Amino acid sequence: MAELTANQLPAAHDDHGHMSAEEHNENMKLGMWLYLASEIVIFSIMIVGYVLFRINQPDVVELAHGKLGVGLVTANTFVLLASSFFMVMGLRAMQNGNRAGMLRWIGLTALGGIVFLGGQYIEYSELAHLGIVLGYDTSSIWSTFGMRFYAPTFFHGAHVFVGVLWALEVMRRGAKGRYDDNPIGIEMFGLYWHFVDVVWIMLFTLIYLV
Amino acid sequence: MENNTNNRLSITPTTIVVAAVYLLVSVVGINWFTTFVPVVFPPQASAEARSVDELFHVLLIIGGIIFFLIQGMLLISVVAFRARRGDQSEGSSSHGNMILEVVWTIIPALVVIFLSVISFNVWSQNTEPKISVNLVDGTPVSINVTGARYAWTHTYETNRTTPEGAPIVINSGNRLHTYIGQNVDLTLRTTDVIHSYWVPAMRVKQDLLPGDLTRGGRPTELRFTPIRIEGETYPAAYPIVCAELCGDGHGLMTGAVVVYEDETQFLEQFYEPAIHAILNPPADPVLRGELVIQEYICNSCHILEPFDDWVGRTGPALDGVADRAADRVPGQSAEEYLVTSVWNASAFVVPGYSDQMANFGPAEMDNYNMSPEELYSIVAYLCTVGEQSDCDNENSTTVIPAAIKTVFGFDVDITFGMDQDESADGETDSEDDGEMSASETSEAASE
Amino acid sequence: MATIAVPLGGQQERQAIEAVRRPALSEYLRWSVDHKIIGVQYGVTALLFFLIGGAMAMAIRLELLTPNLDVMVSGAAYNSMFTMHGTIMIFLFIIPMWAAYGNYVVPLQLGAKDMAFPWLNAFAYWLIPPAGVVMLLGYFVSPAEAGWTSYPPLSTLFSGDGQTLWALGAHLLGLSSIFGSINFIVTILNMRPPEMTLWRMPLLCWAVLATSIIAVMATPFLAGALTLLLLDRMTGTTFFDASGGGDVLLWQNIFWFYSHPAVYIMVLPGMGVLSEVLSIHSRKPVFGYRMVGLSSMAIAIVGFTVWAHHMFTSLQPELRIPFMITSMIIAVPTGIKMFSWLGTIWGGKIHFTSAMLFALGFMSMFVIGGITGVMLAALPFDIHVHDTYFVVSHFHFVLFGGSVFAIYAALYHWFPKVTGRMMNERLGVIHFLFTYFGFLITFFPMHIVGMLGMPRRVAVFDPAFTDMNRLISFAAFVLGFSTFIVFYNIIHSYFRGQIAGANPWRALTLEWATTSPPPVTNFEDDPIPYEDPYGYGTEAASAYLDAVDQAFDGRRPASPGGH
Repeated sequence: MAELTANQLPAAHDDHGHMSAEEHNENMKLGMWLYLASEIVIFSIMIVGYVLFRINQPDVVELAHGKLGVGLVTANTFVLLASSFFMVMGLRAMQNGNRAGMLRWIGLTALGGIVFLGGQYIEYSELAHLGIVLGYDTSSIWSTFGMRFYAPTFFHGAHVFVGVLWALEVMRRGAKGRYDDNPIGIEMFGLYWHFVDVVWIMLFTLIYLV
Repeated sequence: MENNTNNRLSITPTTIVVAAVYLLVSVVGINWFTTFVPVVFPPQASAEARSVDELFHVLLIIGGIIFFLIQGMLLISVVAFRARRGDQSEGSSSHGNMILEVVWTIIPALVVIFLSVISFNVWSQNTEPKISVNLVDGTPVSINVTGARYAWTHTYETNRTTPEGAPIVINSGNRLHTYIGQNVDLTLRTTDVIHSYWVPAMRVKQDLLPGDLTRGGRPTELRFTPIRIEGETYPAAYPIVCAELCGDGHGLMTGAVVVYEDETQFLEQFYEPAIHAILNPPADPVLRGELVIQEYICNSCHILEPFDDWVGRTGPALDGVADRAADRVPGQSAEEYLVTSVWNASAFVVPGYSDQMANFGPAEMDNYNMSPEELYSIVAYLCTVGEQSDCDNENSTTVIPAAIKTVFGFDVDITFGMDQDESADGETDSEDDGEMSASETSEAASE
Repeated sequence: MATIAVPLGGQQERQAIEAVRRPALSEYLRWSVDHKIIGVQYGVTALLFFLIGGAMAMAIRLELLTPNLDVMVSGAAYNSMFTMHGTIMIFLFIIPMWAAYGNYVVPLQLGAKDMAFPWLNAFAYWLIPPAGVVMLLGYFVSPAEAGWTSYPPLSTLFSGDGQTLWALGAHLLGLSSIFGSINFIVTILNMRPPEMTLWRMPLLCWAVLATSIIAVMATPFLAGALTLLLLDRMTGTTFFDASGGGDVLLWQNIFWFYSHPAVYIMVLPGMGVLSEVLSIHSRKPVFGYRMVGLSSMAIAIVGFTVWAHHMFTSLQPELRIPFMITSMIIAVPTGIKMFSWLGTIWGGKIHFTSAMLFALGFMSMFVIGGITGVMLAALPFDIHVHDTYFVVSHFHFVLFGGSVFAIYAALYHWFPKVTGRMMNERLGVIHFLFTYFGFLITFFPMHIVGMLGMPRRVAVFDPAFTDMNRLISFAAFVLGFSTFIVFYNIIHSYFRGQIAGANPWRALTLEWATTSPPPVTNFEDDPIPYEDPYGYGTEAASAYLDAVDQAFDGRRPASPGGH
C-alpha cells in the first residue's frame, strides 16, 4: 500500500475544481434523475387525484369532455413534441461543435414552449368563460371538476414556463461558448424538457382522451 | 494486568454477582410489570376491553422479556467489558457471527408473526358483526352520535311513535345511555372537523369524518358491549373523550357513557322518562326551555350552574345572563338580545371571546333544526337565569314572541306543547320524577 | 505481521507541521460552498431552533401542571404551542441537525474533497433560516394551531393565516431537504475514491444514503400535500373539503406517506452514528457490518409500507390489518441493529466517554420506543391508545431517546474534529445523567397516563391525572435544564477546550486521518482508506493509528496497555 501512495502524484489542486469533467457530468446526470424522480411524485399525486375523480364522477368528466376543445390541445401537444425534437437537434448540433446551430434549435425549443403556454392561456380563458373555474362554487356543475383539471395542467404549465426561462439561459451561456467543451448543461436542460414533455403526454391522454 | 485475550467474557466475581442480581430483578420485574395490567387501565367495562387487556398482557410479557434481555446485556457489557483506567488496549477483533445474526433475525420475525396472529384474532373477535344490536324492548333503535365543536350529542331514534305517528327521538346530550349486555352500535357523524369518539373504559375509539352533510355526511361506526364490573354500583358512568385535535376547546369535549344494570333499570330510569317527557312537554315555557336547552350543544362552550355536565369554556358562562342581557347592545331589550344571541351569535360577541358559535338560526336550520317555538322556550328559560332579571318575565308569553318577530320575522305558536297538558296537572309531578332520575344519573356520572 | 502498511501519503506529514487554522467565526455568517462551513451553519441553526422548540415544550409542561387552563390565555394558544414545538423539533431541529453531521462528516469519511454540488448544498442550507422565520411569523397573525399533522378541515376551514405561513415554511423546508438529499446520494455514490468501495464505507454513510433515498422519494409527497392544502386555503379549491366533493382522508394518506418515512429520516442517521461511536469507543469492530448496512436499506423500504397505522381509527376497518402486519415486520430490521450493537460492545474495551454514554443511553431508551412501537402496531391495543399520551411517550422514546441521544453522542464525538478542541468530559457526564434520568422520568409515566385515558393535545384534562402530570412536568424541567449544561459546554470548549489533535479517539475512519479542523480541501491527496473502517483489535490497525498520530501530531506511538 505504501507503494500505492507513492504513485499518487499530487494533481494540481485548486479549491473546488478537483472534479474531472467526466465525474462532474456523472454527478449532474444522477442528481437530475433524482430531482426528476421527486417531481414525478408531485405530479402523480395530482394525476391520481384526477383519476380517482374520473372514476367516481364519470358523468361530470363526460360533460367536461364536450367542452374541452381537443383540437387546440392536440395542436399544443404536437408543438411540445416538436420542441422536444428541436431540443435533441440542439444537443446534437453542440456535440458536433456547431454553436450557431445549437442556438437556433434551442431557440426553436423555447419558442415551442412559448407557443404551448399561449395555447394554454387561450384554452384557460375559454374554459373560464364556460364557467369552469379553479375554486369550488356550489352554483356550477363544474364545481368539483375545475380544481382537478387546473391543478395538474397549471402545475405542468409552470414547469414549461421554467423550461422556457432555462432555454433562454442555455442560449445566453451557449452564446458565450460555455458548452463548447462540455455540453452537459444542455443535456441537463434536455432531460428536464423531455420530462415535461412526457408528463404532458400523460396528462393529455388522461384528461382529454380517456 | 489483563492481557489482550479479552475477547471473551471474563468470569470475575463482579460479573457473576451482577448477572445473578440481574436475573432476579428481571424475573421479579416481569412479574411486577404484569401486576400493573389492571392498574394502568381504566375499568374494564366492555367485552372488547377484556380481550384488549388480555392482548396487552401478552404484549407486556414479551416486551418485558425483550426489555430485560437487552438492558441486561447492556448492563453486563458495561460492567464486564469496561476499560480500566489507563487501559489503552484494543477489544476483540471479532467481526460478527453468522449463526447469531441469523438467529436474531429469525426469532424476532417469529415473535412478530405470533403477535400479528393473536392481534388479528382479537381484532376479528372484537369486530365480529353482532346479530342483535341496540335492542330496547326487543326491537332495535338507532343511536346516532354527532360531534360538533366541542360537544357530543347522542340521539335515539326510538321504537315508539308520537300520537301523530312520527318516531320519537330522544336527545340525551353528551350522555350515552346503555345497559349491561346491550350490543351497542353507534353511528357517528361530525358537523365540522374530525373528532374521535373514545370511551377509555370500553377500549374503543373511532374517528368522526367530515362528509357532505347534504348527503347524510360520512357516517362511521363504533360497536361495543358493556359488561358487569364486580363491585360497581349501577348506573355507572364512564367518560367519553375527544381524542382527535378539534380546536380551541378540544380538551373540554367530554361526555359520559351511563351503563345501567339491566334493561329494566335502563327503561325505568332513562328510556321511559325521556319518552314521557317528549310526549308531555311542560306547559310552562320556562320549564320546557330548561329541557330544550339541554338538547342542544350549548354545554360545549358554556357553563350554567344547575347543569353539572356543562363544561365549555370557549364561550362566556351563562350564569346570570338575564342580569346583563339588557346592557349588552344599546337599543336592544333583554329579550331581543337573547333571541339574537341564540340564533345569530355573531351579531354581538362578548368582549374577551371569539366569534365561533354555531348559527342556530334560519340560515342553518337544516343542521340544528331549532324551531321558533324552541327558541321561545329557551329564551323564556334564560330570562329566569339571574338574580334581578332584565326581562319582563310577567309578560313573557307576549314579549318574547314579539322579540322573535322583530328580530327574525318568525311567528311563534305559543300554544306549542300545551294541549297535552290540559289532561292532568299531576303530569307535572311525574315530570319532576323524570328530572330527578336525570339528575341522579348526572351525579353518578360525575363520580 | 512483517511489515505494516501505512496508507498515508507524504503530503499529510508535511501538512502536520503547519498550524491548524480554524475558520473565523464571520465565515459562518456568510454564503460559503465549503461543506464544513455549511455543516456548522446547519448545526448552529438547528441548535438555536432546538432552544426555541425546547422553550415551547417547557411552556407546555408548565400549562399541564394543573388540569385547568391557567398559564396560556386560551386553548388556541396552547394548541399553537405544541403545533410549533412539533414542527420546529422535526423540521428545524432534527432533520437539519442530521444534515449538519452529514455535511461535515460524510465527505470526510468518504475521502472526498467536498459534496457533489457545493452550490446546491449552500442553497439548501440558506432555505432553512427564512423558512423558520416564515413559520414563526405566524405568531404575529394567528399561529398555526392544527398540530404538526395539520389535519384538514381543521387546518383549512377552521384556521387562521398562521396556518398558511406554516404550510409555506414547511414547503421551503421540504425543498431544502430534497436538495440536500440529492446531494448526499450523488456524493456517496459518485464521489468515493476508488479504494472506498461500498462495503468499506463507514456505517454513517450507509445510514445517510438510506436516509437520503427516503427523503428524495417521500418529501415530494409532503410537497404535493402542502400544495393542495395551500390551494384549498388560498384559492377556494376543495380537495380536502367534503362539502365540496373533497376527502379529508386524502390528506392523511399523503401526509403519512411522507411522515412515517420521515421518522426514519430522523432516526436512521442516529443509528449510523451509533455504529460509529459504539465501535470506536469500545475498540471493537462493528458486529455484522453488512447486516447493519443492509438493515438500514430494509428499514428504508419497509418504512414506505406502514403509513396507514397512523390512521387506525379513521381508516376503513378492513384496510387496517395489512398495515398492522407491515408495521410489525419493521421491528425485525430494527431488532437486527439493536442486537448488532450489543454484539459490538460485547467483548470490547468500553471507554465511558460522554459520546459513549449517550450511545449506550440511546440503546437503553430506544429499545423502549421499539417495544411500544410493536405494541402500537397491534391493532386492537392501538385503538385504545391511539392519539393518547401513550403515543406521545412512544415517539419521544424514538425521537428523543433515539435521535436526540444520538445527536448528543455525535456532538461529543465529532466536536473535536470540527473545532480542534475536546469537549469537557466531566460536564458531559453531568449532562448525560441529567438528560438520561430527566428523560426517563418525563416520558415513561406518559405511557400510563395515556392508557388510563388522557388524550394528547389537551390543555384541560381529567383532574385524576394531576399527580402524574406534576411528576412529568418537574422531570421535564430537569430535562430542560440539562440543555443549558451542553450549551455551556459547547461554548466553553470552543474557546477553552483541550487541544484535540487529529485523532483523539484513535478511530480508523477517514475523517480522523486529517487535521482537526481539516484544511479547506480536506486532504492533500486522495486518501486511501484503511482496509476495514472498523477493523479494531488487530496489530495492523494499531500500527495505522500510531502512524496517523505521528503524521499529524508528531506524537510517538503510545504504548498500549497490553504491551
